[in-house]
Amino acid sequence: MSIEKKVLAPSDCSLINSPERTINFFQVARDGYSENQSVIYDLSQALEFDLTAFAIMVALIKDRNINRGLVSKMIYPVDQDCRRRVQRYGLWKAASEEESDVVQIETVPQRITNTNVANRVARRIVLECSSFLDCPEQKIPELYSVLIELMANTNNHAVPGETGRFAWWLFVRPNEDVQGIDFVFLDLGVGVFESLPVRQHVTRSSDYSGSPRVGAESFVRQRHISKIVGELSKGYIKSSTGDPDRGLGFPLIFEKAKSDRFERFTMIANDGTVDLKKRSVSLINGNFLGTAFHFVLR
Amino acid sequence: MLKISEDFSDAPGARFEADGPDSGEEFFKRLLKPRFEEAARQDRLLLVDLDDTFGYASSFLSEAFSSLEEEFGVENVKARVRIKSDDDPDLIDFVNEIIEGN
Repeated sequence: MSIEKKVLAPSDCSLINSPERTINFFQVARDGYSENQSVIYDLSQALEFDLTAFAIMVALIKDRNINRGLVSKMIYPVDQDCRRRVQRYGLWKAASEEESDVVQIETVPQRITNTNVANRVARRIVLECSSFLDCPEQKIPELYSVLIELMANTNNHAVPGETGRFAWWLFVRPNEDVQGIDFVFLDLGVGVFESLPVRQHVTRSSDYSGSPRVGAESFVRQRHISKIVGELSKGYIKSSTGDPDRGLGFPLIFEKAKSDRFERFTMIANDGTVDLKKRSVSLINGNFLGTAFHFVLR
Repeated sequence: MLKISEDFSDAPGARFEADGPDSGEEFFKRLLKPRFEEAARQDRLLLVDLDDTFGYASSFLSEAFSSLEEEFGVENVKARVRIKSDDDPDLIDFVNEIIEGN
């Protein structure tokens, strides 16, 4: 007999608006797979299910390193607006008229590349975005550079000895509210604040003596993460290879995030949320195992 | 002159060939190094034109120009290489800092 675990989504399922509840929702789902259970994502109470939530859900149900090939199912939101949004994401081919019906999620294998940087994908996205936004020029260098840096940084901040194990996920959708385009870039590695280069940097630096890890007292932890963010943005935290020419990806992402092209630019990792435009850090009461970037291109 | 968008790729990738296509490592090996050697043999300057690509990752430029500096020396590279970047003039300083090892 197969064992199923039903996990209830929060009413506002969004890493941006409701990070703690959303992280907890997906962590319970992840735990279900770890316990060898099929997972039913119960979205019945959801009033909002945004692109950040969709990105994590897709990553969980597509990544066999996480779901172990176990079945994933979903219960549609009762709220009709939210239901339509979920349907528009296009993941689920089967649609039931019964609100309470459980729908098995289509698990068409995702195409996986052997390399972590897909420059031709980034090029195509830039062309499509410039066409969608009616840009006079076809090229949007800020966007292209950010996409390549995000892809390239995925493995720099993955788990030691497991380079390439964690896929990245990129989701792009029109955002009608701001007449722009929403981007979510996601990797479900260890999260940048607990990554090997950051841990090595913290261990080496005397400024970080007695540094708190996830779950430490909030004031101390917030100061710790703010310091890490400041040093990441200046390129002081090098890759695990220690090569002095590396570690320049984050400074470029921070620099490009300031562009007026980007309406918002947020990074969520472990227990921290960073507004890259305002350079502000806030703590999350939880631990998101991964790193997600959300930005809006205009 | 070496124009990256025409002679190599209008969509440069990241650092290493293992990262994916059109990397800085590939650019160095296939174009930058041979063109530099050719310019040195002929005692000419080498102008590297960064314009008209979709953009650059820092790792692409870092790998290509730090490899050049490591192989031929700072002074030799500074004396012979000029960078053109009208699209993003900041990249000129960025590349020069890489060459100087900053």
